[in-house]
Amino acid sequence: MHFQGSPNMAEKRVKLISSDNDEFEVDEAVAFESETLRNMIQDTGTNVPISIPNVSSDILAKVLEYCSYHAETMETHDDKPPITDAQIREWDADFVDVHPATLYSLILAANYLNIKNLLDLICQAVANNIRGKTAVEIRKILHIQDDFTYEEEMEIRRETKWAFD
Amino acid sequence: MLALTLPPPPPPTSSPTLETPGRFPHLRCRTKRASLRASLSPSLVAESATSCGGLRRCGMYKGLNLEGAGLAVRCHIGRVSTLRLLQVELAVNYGWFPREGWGEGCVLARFAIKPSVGACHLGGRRLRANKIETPDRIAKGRSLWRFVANLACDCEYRIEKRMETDSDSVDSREGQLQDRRVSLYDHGSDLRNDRHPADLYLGTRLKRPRHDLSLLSQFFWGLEDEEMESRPPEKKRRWRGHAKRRGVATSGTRIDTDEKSDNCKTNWHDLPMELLVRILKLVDNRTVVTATGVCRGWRDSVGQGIYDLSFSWCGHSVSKLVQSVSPKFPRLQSCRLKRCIYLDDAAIETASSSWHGLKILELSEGRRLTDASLHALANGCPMLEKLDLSACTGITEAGLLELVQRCSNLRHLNLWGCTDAGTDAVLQALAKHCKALQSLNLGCCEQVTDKGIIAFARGCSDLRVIDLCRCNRITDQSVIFLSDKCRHLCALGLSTCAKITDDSMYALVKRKTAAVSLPSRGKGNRFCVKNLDMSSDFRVPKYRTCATSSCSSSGSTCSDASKLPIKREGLDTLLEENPNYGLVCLNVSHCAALSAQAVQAVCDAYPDLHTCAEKQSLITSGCLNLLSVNCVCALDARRDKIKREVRRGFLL
Repeated sequence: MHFQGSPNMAEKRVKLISSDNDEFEVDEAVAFESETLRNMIQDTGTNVPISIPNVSSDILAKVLEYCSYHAETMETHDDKPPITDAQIREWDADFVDVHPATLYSLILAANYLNIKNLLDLICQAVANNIRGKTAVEIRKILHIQDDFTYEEEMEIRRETKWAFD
Repeated sequence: MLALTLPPPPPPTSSPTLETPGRFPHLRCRTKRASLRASLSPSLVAESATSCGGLRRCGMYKGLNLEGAGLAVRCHIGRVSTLRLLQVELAVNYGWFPREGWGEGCVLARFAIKPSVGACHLGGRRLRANKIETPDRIAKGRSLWRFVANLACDCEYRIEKRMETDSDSVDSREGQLQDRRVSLYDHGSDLRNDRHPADLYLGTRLKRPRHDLSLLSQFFWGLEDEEMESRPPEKKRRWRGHAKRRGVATSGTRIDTDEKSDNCKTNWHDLPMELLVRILKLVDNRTVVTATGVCRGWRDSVGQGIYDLSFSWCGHSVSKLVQSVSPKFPRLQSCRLKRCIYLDDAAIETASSSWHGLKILELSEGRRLTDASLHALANGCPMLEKLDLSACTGITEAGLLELVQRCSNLRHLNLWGCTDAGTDAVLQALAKHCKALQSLNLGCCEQVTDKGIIAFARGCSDLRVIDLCRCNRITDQSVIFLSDKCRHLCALGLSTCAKITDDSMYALVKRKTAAVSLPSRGKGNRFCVKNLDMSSDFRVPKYRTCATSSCSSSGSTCSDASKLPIKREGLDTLLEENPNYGLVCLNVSHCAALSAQAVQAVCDAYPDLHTCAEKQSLITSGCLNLLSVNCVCALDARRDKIKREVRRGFLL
């Protein structure tokens, strides 16, 4: 990836190591989308590979996909038309349209890597999904195991009835 | 021509001789782009208008201000084909319109058939429920792009919600009146390509900053709950449909385990609390409550992480729900139960035994609540700082006395409409136990006398806001003591206090002059000391600029302010900024004994009192002899206008 705005920065590449020891090499600008990585890079420099122990390879790949897309939208290219906000929104909506299990890993990764935009995006997506739903529906949407006792469950059903009265 | 069946106009009570309008000194008919201001009695206007052929001959009228001219409006507006802007600011105690069948519906229906009328302003009127079809009718008036209606609070809430079409509408409750300014922008196809930019400006200026809003709204009535907003009216039916289906689905006793989806369970139940709270901040309060039933992890996280909750969205079952859910939110600090008319004592008793850290509680219109609730609150929630008991008609003096003794942290108390609870004894107890009280609403507490107010003013010297609307028994003594003892008083509501005379106004003026001559460290209060650094040198000018900037940026701050948490909304921020003993809001509507000179003196003494439409903070509606009171900017505007007209050669 080439960045015209700052050629000296574009040379800098950062190595990231996921929890299952896969190595990712990204531009510094992409890694800077994450506050955590930014702090680490500023502490240690770009020479040392940064290990991210609690994010697996597939999730890290997705996170980096998000970061690189958004780093790209920040750049202004003369030859290409700029990416519109609507396009970005559409891309974002596609990005979070994944299985709840993946989404859960993504929200944890975004939280750990402190990528505010991604965290907001996922939270908004989850909020849109669960808004106005009953507890049973939320369980189905997010594939959550019901761990209440029978009595508690009956109480919740009563509450649901009252809440949607 | 009209499909409405109107009763015949009542015969004029007073019968002045019918003369041409030229003989009436107050009826000013200026030519050309004229405005007619009817400051006479309505029957007189009606008759004079009739005698000169009605307004129909005044074909040139583009704007019309008919304050207090009920009959004239009813009789003749319909014929003026050129009318663009109409102001009908009428007062309750004139009682012309509340007669059966004479509501605004008639007026608005006439607007509806008049496509030329661009905007209308109806002040302080009771709108009956059966007249609320008006927005639909207005929609027929094709060019209507702004509709401002101040409605009385006996309107059905749901109907008002229907009138609310976007977030620009403002809810304020002025004493027993509920002002609701409705901006029907969706009817304003003309709005975008409007040919009257000045009028358009008026429309946008209706947005007030939030603190302004809460001042005018008698200090306690904030914006509607967000969750109500989040559910548009047209979705209500769908919600109900959902509920029914759910009711059927959940009525079975057997728990159906989710066989379809349990093959791949996720870890969402382990979601860290801060993330869950972050998500739940984006949804409505109903979903927050249902989220407690998803799994144990969520239940615990929600209980630990949610501090602010509202049940105002709840319907008939609010009591049962609060009883059942309240133990799950042990750390709740703010709870809103506004307009939950089905709320009963049992719910409050359960809730107050779980919510020991509660600071803000809004129980307005809890008509079924009695002293048992107050007893429970006194024992369970000693930290209460803000309590809204408006229109809780079931509570009495004894319960409130107990509460006041226990909850000594109270800062804001709303007793509007608690006719049995708002008494002198309560005021004396407040003075004794709640010395930190900053705002008090005693609207419609007709038992209150000077004795109580004087004791209260002596005790609660930090008072900033007080509303004495409809406290008929109080006299000038109360106002004199309040203005003398409460140095921070900045908003005063005296609406419909018939015994208030000019002495009160001059006491307020005197207070201002005394405050200006005082050194700014006059009180050893943190309030003054804190602000001493900022404004020690050129206090008054700085203060003025601060105030005007906050007003002028109202449009931009409005949206941001609505996101502020409840603690920072309303008066608190405003009051922290206004230390200089200045009144920023004064309501003397329907105080018939006041003279224009006295009120004008108050208006001149306090630069933040405005009578102009966009920053109105001195409310004089319903007083025909106060029509001549004007703030500086109104005079300036008039002067500018005259200058402009002179330049254009209209007058010369």
